[in-house]
Amino acid sequence: MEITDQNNNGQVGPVQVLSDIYGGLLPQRTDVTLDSRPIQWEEDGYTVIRGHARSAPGCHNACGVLQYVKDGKLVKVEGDPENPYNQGRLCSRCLAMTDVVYHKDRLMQPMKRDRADRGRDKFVEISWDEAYDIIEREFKRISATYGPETIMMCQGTGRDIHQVTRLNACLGSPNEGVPYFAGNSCYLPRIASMACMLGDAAVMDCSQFLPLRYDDPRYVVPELCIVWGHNPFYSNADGFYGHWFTDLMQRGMKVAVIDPQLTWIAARAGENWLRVRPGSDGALAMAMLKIIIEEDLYDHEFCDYWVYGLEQVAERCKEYDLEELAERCWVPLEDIQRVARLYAQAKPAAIQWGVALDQQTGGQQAAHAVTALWTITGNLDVPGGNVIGRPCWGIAQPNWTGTWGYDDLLSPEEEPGKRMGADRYPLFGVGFKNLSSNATFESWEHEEGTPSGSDGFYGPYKFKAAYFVTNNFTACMGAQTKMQMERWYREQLEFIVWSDIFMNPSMYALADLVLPVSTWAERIGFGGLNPYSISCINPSIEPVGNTRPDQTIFMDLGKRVTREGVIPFTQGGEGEVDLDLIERLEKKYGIKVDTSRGVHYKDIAYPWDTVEQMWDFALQDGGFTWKELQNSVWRYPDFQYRKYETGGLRADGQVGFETPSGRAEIYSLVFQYASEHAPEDCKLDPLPAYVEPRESPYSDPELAKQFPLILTTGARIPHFFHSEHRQIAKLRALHPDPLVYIHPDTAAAYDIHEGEWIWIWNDHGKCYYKTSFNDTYDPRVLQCEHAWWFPERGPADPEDEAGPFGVFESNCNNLVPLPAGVSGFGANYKAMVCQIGKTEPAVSNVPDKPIVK
Amino acid sequence: MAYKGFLVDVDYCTGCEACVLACQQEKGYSEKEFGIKVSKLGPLKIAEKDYQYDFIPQFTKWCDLCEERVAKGKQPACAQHCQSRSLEYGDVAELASRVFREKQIIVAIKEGD
Repeated sequence: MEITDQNNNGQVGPVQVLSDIYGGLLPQRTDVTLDSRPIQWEEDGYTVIRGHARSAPGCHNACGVLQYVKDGKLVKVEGDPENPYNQGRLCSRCLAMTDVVYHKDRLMQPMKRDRADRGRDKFVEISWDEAYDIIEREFKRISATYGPETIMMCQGTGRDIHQVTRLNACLGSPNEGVPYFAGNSCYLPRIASMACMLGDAAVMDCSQFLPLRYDDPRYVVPELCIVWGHNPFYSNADGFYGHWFTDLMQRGMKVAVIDPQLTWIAARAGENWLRVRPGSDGALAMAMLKIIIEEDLYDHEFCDYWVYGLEQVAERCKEYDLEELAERCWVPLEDIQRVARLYAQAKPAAIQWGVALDQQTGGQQAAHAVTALWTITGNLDVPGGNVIGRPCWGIAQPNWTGTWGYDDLLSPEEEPGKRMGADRYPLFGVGFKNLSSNATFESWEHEEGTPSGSDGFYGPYKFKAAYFVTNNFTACMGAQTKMQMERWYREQLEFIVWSDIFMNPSMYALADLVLPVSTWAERIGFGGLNPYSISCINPSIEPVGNTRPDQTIFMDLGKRVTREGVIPFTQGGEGEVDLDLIERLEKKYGIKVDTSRGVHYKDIAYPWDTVEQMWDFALQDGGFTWKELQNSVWRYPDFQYRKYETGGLRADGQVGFETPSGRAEIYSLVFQYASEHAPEDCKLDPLPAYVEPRESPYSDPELAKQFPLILTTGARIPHFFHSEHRQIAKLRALHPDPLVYIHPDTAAAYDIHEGEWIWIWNDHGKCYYKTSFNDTYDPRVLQCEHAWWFPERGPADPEDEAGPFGVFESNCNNLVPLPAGVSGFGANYKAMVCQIGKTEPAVSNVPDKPIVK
Repeated sequence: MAYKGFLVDVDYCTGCEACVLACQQEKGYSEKEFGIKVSKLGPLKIAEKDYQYDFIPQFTKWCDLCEERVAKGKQPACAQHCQSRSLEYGDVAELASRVFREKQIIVAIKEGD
């Protein structure tokens, strides 16, 4: 059949409607491009409700689902065959969703515990009203005593809870982020580099912007994709459904893979699997860049028209020696040359990178080099290349990069003025509105009451309260996590609120107040963490127990804790008010401003009676309400390639990129300008470079004699979302134990047998893992799985060294050094020096004096 | 009498085990029961940069080919949710005619009507 393309833009192409493949699953065939489709029907005694999976439990995707309900209970979750995103498929975690929703250990009731009893079995169940009363009282007390900026909102990763920024903004605090996560080492280093260089972020094009997907005539399958530090099938990175890769391989795409381990996809790359030394991706990227420039393999026309800085980058490349770079990354030079040439000559070619790039000292600089690769080869914003994505219809604030509410509720003196680290690291000052983790580390160690920097540590203030919105940092994210928990969070925070669907070890160790939240099947919302489509989160059941959705909690609390007072420049006479501001607020909130009264924070912080009204507001730039979104289930905005040719990227409508030069800047003027007033140890390099990891065989050979092996971490397990799902029996049965992958020759040298448990340690800490032999690693490299804890062991008192639920035992993060790269981004989660053995070493996971910079 | 079964594309199975959970959910099985199980074969080195590394789905006596689903015109739960599209349900003879490259396996599960 043939149908008209999305949004009636006139293009017509052959379409195979997905349901033709799957048979008669649905009550009627629908067209994936329409704005209306069945959202609920009866089927064999079930009510089927169509929607999207999001969080909780955590996930970075927004897959289409059909929820089967009987007698008010969710009985099963299936993939929606017509949904363009996942096309009927689901991963094991959604297919175990009913086991999550109705698990016996789910948190069902708010609880409180005295601060003096942190880490002990002293929780007392309370009502929601009492929980809200306590939060209101404590937030107001801390705000009045220490300033609102000392209250922070903390999160896990990729949860649909970014709306929480409105809550800290209404308090007057610009602080939201992941303050335990050294170097903010997840996607932000790459996003920051891309945004400065290109004015936007780019992602591999797997046709995901087009609802007709591979059948859209505009789409071109890449000839080659370099899969860089990424295992897409098990990780499903932000808004990236990993099995789009098998779709493309089945359609002819070849792959080259850069990874220290032979992943399944690396085994499909043949000679083009490059076994890089963990942490040295930047050396490999610089070598490829040098080869492509010096062998004249770049796209001259694209560079002439659209690229800024090619000459400077070529000069920078001359400073490097190819043999030395190859030796540094442990990849034979001829292999690097072959893959660089293949990539430059394939048209189109894509690079899909993973979090490995972020989790090394030089991660930001490596991301710069990789971005330069796809830019100079003309693979930027072309079909099948790396394409620029923007929030759909500009609906960015509550679901994309966060910071919803900052523009209206915080003044420039507050944001970025009081944001932790905005004046420490220039990249945090130029638009990345997260708090800086490494600035936070310094602030914990800074002597309170003395000027910032006076004792060598940055520290404008110390945090006093935190709302952990679904996070488990002691198991995941936190570097030297036991030290952080004991020395910083437990000792220095006066008040800690924690929400999640299960009791987790971090919550058990620290929470003064526990809020039980609803899963995605129990709430309304919209997703996802991607720039392709807006998808409806459509509930199928009532909240289980006495749980509430995160977004309901934010709104309830926001109404209570929003600060008193008038928003500056909204009250007064001529010359005393900001007319542009007043016009913007009137238009946005549908209000009429009386300048004799001014606009009070409370007028606009949470002016909604229901969460649905809040979503109608958030969706207004799309021109549809939440109900209308529900009726269409998903909506795709029109997508265009080569937007730099049509003025689609610049606010002034000119062709080019939204950068100072108007071109794609491989010499970054933003890095240059932003560094002019930065502290000496935080200046950014406007050119790509290789930065050796801290504590490596090259940067510290003496240390490497003591710790001769390299530990990399974070290889994903498909059944767990980071530290979640460990209590789901069906999923845990598929992967019961925390594994360290070790080369059999290395194991033999230490007299270690497969399946034996071993200790792994360095100066920072130690961990305990079960060995699994794998001779595809370099014998000098080991890999530990991350985020392990053991729900079945139950909680433990603070005196127990293994921590609650054994969280500090098989915890490779104990070995991660805290310092980040010069940008404040990138810490060594992927490349630590280590030693191994069968007896427990005399190393503490809580050093007397942490090294924070 | 013709056999019904699956065409398994071993070259593309990524070992995600969505099929295992899809089956357990559909049939209400516990973690100790499964109509399909995935085995890992490799990585084993054959030569430099040449590895044997496959995941192989195998069907068990708990598999009834999702008779109820198939009767309604749906795909078996494992086949629908297979993320790499490596499982195809049908008549064995018909599936066999569609083998077009290496590492494709036909599994006969049961005799049809």
